[in-house]
Amino acid sequence: MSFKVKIVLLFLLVGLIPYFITMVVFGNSLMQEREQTMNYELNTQLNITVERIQQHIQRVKSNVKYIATSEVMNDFFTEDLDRRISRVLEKKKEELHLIGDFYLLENSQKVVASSDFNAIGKKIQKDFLFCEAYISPFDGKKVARLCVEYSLENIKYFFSNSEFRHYYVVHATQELYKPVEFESSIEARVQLEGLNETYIVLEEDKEYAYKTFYKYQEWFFIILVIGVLIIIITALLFAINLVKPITKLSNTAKEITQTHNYNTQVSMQRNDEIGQLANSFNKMIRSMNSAFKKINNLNIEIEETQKEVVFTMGAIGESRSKETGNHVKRVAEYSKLLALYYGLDSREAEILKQASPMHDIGKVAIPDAILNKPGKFTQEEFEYMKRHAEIGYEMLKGSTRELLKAASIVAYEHHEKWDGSGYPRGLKEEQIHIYGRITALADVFDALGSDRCYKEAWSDEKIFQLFKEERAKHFDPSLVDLFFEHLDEFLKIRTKFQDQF
Amino acid sequence: MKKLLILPFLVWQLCADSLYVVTSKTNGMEPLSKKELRDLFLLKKKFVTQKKVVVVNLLASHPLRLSFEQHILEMNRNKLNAYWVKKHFQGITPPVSQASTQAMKKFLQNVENSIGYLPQDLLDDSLKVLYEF
Repeated sequence: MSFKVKIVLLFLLVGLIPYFITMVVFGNSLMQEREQTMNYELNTQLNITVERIQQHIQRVKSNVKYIATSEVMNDFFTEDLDRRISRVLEKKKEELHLIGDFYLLENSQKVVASSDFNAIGKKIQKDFLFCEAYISPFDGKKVARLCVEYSLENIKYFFSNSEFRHYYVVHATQELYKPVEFESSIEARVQLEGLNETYIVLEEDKEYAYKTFYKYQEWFFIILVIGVLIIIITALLFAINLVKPITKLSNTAKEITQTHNYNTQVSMQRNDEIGQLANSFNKMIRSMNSAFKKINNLNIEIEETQKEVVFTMGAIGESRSKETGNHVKRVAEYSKLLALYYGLDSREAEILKQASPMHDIGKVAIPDAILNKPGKFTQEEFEYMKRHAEIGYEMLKGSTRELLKAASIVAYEHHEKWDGSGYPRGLKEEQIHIYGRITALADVFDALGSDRCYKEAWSDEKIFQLFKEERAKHFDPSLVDLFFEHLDEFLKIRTKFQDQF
Repeated sequence: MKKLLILPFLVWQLCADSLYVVTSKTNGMEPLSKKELRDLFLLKKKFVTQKKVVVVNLLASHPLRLSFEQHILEMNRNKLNAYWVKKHFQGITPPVSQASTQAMKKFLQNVENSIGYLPQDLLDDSLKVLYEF
């Protein structure tokens, strides 16, 4: 996981967790509040209705009390012969919109007067809402009761029902006047004072009750989602801005390791820790740059020194045999040219160019008497002369340097011949290292074209003639072909490095 | 002309003959004088021989009550109204009333020590006459 992703996740976590906790708590309290409000509203509605019912009951009761003390009650003693009490009761019933009747009962339960005229004179046994004693104004005795019957139908008159909300009555576990059954509902209930085991219930369809609440819920979720989006965007922006300079630093570091361009600098206009880090980074890169430059210079110095040493050593060998200094230069150039045409890469060709001047270094160990003898060698002298190859090899083989190793090969094998008739080891064809084969050709070409203490310089025709004859005998045939193919270039080199007399 | 002279006499005769002040036979009350009746019905007096008496009127519009007021109370309606207004401020309300002579009879039978007035044709054994006019 990258640093950037980690920072983004951290920011999201830090932003979202408290947000969610807050929203859940807020949502819950909102829901509770909403439920409370709904219940409160339902209860208020119910209480208003119950209040009105209670008022009606109270009105009926106080009317009974009032009639029981009014003068017309004296007609009890005439057994309401003129129906004056009954008429008053009837009128009162109408006025109160009462469903149920008033009864004036003797102590023997016989009805003396009633708003229900049919009941007069009969004995009845009923469940009354309320009874008020009639006390005789003449002797203070309790001679009768004025009772009122209150049907539950009266209550129904106060119910204002709608499709989703209705009232009903629960009387002794029995549900009355319930218009419809709701699948699920919320309800409030209140007991009616003065009526036994009678409850008024206000019931509302739950789905309808929660309808507005669900609307709120939708908005709540939209706000929640918007909040989450804002937090995510903010977290991303913060994290990206925070990580940007660090990414820049790391990218620059990566670039430097790939391109080795130590001049690269990070530009950052900040004063905080990251700015300091960038400054330190820039300083480090600058000092690295100068350090590398020094090392490079040292390397170049070493290489140059090496080249000079090698060249000088070759020159020493040549000077011993009275050959001009330009011989080694020409051999070097020929070797490089042949190596390139043969297919070696430029680095190897360069090494060969620098190594080939040392091919005759072994001659330092050959006595001057033999080396500079004019005329032909004796057999013994020639055998001694042949040893210069081996001596050169022995001198250089101990080195681990690439250049000196190549030089040792050149020194050892530059007198080997393609057909195996050369010395010191008599190697043939591919057994001979390519360095040896090339140097052999280059050396012979230059030696034949130069004046020596023992001979005049050969003419070009004679040399080419010899090369053609010696193709696949002395020389590698492919190298001879390449030589003739690019002859003009070789001749150009010879002209360029001509011996000065 | 002779007939015109006779008419008020006849009405008087009719009323006088048929109006009796009565009570329930059970309470053993002695006959009363016109003065005593007047005091009882105007609620100036409430006891007869240490018994609390309940006096009963007929309704104000009843002809027998008019006749009773004329002969016993000897007051016309204006005078009587003025009297009850005065009494009202002393906390005294007029006697209870009954709508019909039948109801009056029933009331007299049922309420102890009640005194009312009835025409002759409603008198029977359960009632006792206290005054006759």
